[in-house]
Amino acid sequence: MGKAVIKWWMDAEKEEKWLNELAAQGLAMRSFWLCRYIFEECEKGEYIYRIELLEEMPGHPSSEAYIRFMEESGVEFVQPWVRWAYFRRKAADGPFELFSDADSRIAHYSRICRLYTALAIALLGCALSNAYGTWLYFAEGFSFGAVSFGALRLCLAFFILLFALGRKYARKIARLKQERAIRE
Amino acid sequence: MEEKAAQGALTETVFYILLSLSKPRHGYAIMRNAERLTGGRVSLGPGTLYGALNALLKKQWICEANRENSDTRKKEYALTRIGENALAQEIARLQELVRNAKSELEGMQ
Repeated sequence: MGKAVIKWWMDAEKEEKWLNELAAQGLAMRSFWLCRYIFEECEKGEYIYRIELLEEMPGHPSSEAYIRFMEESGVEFVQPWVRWAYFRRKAADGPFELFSDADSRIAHYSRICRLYTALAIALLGCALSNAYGTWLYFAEGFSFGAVSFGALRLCLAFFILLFALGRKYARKIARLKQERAIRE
Repeated sequence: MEEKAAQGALTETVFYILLSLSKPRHGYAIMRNAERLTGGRVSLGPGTLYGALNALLKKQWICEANRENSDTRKKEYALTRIGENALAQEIARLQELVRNAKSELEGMQ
């Protein structure tokens, strides 16, 4: 009945695009955990999926109020993931976009950019502490430092990916702000 | 330094929200009304609409309508006095806009 797919996304925009591509083929996402998606069969293109980063965790009253509003507006709240919310709506109800003006788009992109940037900084911090362990490994023969060396490379890799994602959204925001000088 | 906060154009989102609240409505009805009035051109995204409604509630241009008379459980909104005035001001501004556009363009012909 449910089809499980393992896939790991770092970029929410790309993930959303992927969910919609699958929905167009007749597979609608039902649930998600870590990197395991469960899909159920649906009509081709029956649903439109949107992923949003909420201001607060889903349990927070303001998030609950927002989710309730979305449901009252005919949007289905599929599930949360940390601070992310998966929404979907039937394509028969018309096109589905979360945001319709530049200001709210900028606000959303800013939230996402801040998250990716914060994570990137955290990983940079991890990388630096692992750099110290690595130094101990090479300079002082501290054998456990070999682990640090592996972790260092991992941290750096993630830092670069997250930093690049943060920059991607920063560029989107800059472009929207430019457009804002002319129209909403 | 006092800010001249009262001047300036309303966004299309806010304009259509205020216009749609000529009678109390809930969020979804506001969306549908804006689409109807503009032939589908203005399609308020629920994320945008939610943010705008909260901003308007804060400014007290709209309020939550009590639902005793309503047939739905959904939260409904209504214009306040201040909101009505703001809408009237905006309509006057838009009329001035169109008047000026017409006179300038006619002047050029």
